[in-house]
Amino acid sequence: MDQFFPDSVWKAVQLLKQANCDVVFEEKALCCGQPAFNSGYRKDAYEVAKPLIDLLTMTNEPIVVLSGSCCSMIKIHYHELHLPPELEQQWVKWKNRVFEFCDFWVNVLQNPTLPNSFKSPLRVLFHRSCHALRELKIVSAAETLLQQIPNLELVYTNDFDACCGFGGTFAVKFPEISISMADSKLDYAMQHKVDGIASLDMSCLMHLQARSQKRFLPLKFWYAPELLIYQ
Amino acid sequence: MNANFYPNRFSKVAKEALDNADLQNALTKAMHHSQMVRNQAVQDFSDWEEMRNAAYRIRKYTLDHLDELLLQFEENCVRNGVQVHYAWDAQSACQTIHLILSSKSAKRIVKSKSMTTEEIHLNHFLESNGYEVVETDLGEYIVQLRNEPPSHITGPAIHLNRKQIADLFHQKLQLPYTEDPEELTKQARTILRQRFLTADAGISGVNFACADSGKIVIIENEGNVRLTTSLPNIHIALCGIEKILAKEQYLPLFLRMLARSATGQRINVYTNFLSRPRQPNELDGPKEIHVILLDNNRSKMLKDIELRESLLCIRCGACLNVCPIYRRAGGHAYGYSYMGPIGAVITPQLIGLQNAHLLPYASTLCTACGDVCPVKVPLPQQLLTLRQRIAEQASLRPWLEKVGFKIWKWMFSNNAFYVLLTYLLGFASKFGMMKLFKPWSTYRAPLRRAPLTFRQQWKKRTYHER
Ligand code: SF4
Repeated sequence: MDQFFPDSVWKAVQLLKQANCDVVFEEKALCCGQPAFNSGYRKDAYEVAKPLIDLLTMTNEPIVVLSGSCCSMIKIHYHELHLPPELEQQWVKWKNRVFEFCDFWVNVLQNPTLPNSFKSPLRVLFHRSCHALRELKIVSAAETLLQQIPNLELVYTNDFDACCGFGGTFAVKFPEISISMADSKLDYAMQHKVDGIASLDMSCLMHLQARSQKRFLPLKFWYAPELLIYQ
Repeated sequence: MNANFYPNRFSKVAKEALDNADLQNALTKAMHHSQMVRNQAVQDFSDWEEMRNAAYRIRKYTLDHLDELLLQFEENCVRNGVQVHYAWDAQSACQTIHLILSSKSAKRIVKSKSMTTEEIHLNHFLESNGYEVVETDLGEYIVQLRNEPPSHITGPAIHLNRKQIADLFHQKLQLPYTEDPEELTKQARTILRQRFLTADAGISGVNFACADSGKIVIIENEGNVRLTTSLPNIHIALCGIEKILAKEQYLPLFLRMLARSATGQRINVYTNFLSRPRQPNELDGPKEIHVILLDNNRSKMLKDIELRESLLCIRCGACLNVCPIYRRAGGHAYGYSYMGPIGAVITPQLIGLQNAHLLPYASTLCTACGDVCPVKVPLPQQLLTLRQRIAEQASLRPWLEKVGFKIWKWMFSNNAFYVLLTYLLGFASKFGMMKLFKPWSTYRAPLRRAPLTFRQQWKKRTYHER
């Protein structure tokens, strides 16, 4: 998000500030380690995650993560990195303070601001990204949130085509299968004449967007919370 | 390893499958249907999740007590007059079957669908030893005629459409051409009935082997298992050692869950119980029943604490039906008798990591498989564990990936290196070098770093501007 989608991050910061939160951005937290973890390189993943783990172990504040898959890595999978026992004990405690943005917005802040309103109707396909859906189980919260926005019409993907085909290094290891999956999703979006696709996972969107651009499709892409202030 | 198994060619075979429009259409339709009916069928129970937990515990009990349960099963079989054999590996299983058959001069064999017999490549073995083997499950018969392995655990010919089957029957069997499924089934039935009547022996797999009664349970929908297990004089059931169920009373739970997960049925059309050979006062049934308990690396899997739960599997095929990769790659890409997520997990364990090191990577970790599994095999976690083991073996992953992750590690564990990465990405984006990363950019637009990263912007702004 830092490198490719800084605007989406700013939108999230703006929203949190509107909700009277004091936002601190931790520069030392570079990556949760998921890419290496998912490819089997757990030691490398641990080394990358270590500064983040140390940092989060020391804070007492709620931690907001933008993107479902990073969040579920931190919240659900860190013990699989074989953390030293004392770190793991602490992780068990602080992991409950980690929230994906939407989760935080809906369940902690209790939906603080009035939803955005679009001047003209906007049709958005909501991509139920896998980690947000099955691991964090926050998709319905996000959908309820978006449904409240006047003039925003949500279109749902059928669960049959749930996964977008990104899968981290999967996207480059088996590009043809990966693309076929992305195309199913994009075709579905085009058939349903939506303006764009929103999701709780930036990595899914990065992949879908890159494929969409290659096909010259007129689709926009939003990290779901952006729609709360997108004009 | 048997040359007919080729899991390491996954990418190539999957690509061919993607280009095969017939296969894509057939699979998409079939998988969509299977998912839909399964989802409807499990709604019969408000406590499906608890049923899964119960099923998990019961299966886990089997794994934890397999040694005792196997002995108990054997004891009960022997009491029932069923002969029990143990086979350490594929070869010894084949040899045992050969021995049983040849001692009775049995030549003509009818078989009912069994993935375990695929695992030991039994048909090939029997045919090369002069036996005449015919598959009696319709789907299995079709793939046998096509000389290819099954492509799905429960639907062997699921990758084919009606027209292909019509062509096949017309050409191979010289039957009048028809695309009517009823007619095609009738044609096959006529041929197979004849085979049943003349068969010397029947061979089947096993769904559940009840330790407390020695009964063997085989479920099916076509009636061919019933005929296979009752007409010929000899019956041989090949049973993976993990198929044991401690008590017969657990069956209702498993039969309900298995049928729903596999085909969305409330119950299978036929549930066959094999308990003892034909008694003097009985009119039918095999005179001899043999059970072959197959290890073939299962006890090794059992010892592996991290991975043993893949032995919980009851082969319902639900994880295949929900898998977006399976649906596109097709079953043959997995190159072994098990496919989809469960194939990706057990094949490397059965035939060795080095012989199937691509399979655990053939997943986006979307976790749909883990959610659908009726016995809660932790498929996504197991894929990750296998990936870790593969990554630890120097020769199994491309060096580029290893070096890539080392560089990635430096860049992302140290702020100074991260700044360097930022500049490199910026440079590459600016001069169009991102498109040089072919595996990404052949099919997708190249990525572009934002003119200023969030970090850079954050630093530039004051507290109030942020
Ligand atoms: S792993 Fe689970 S879902 Fe897959 S075939 Fe086995 S029992 Fe069915």
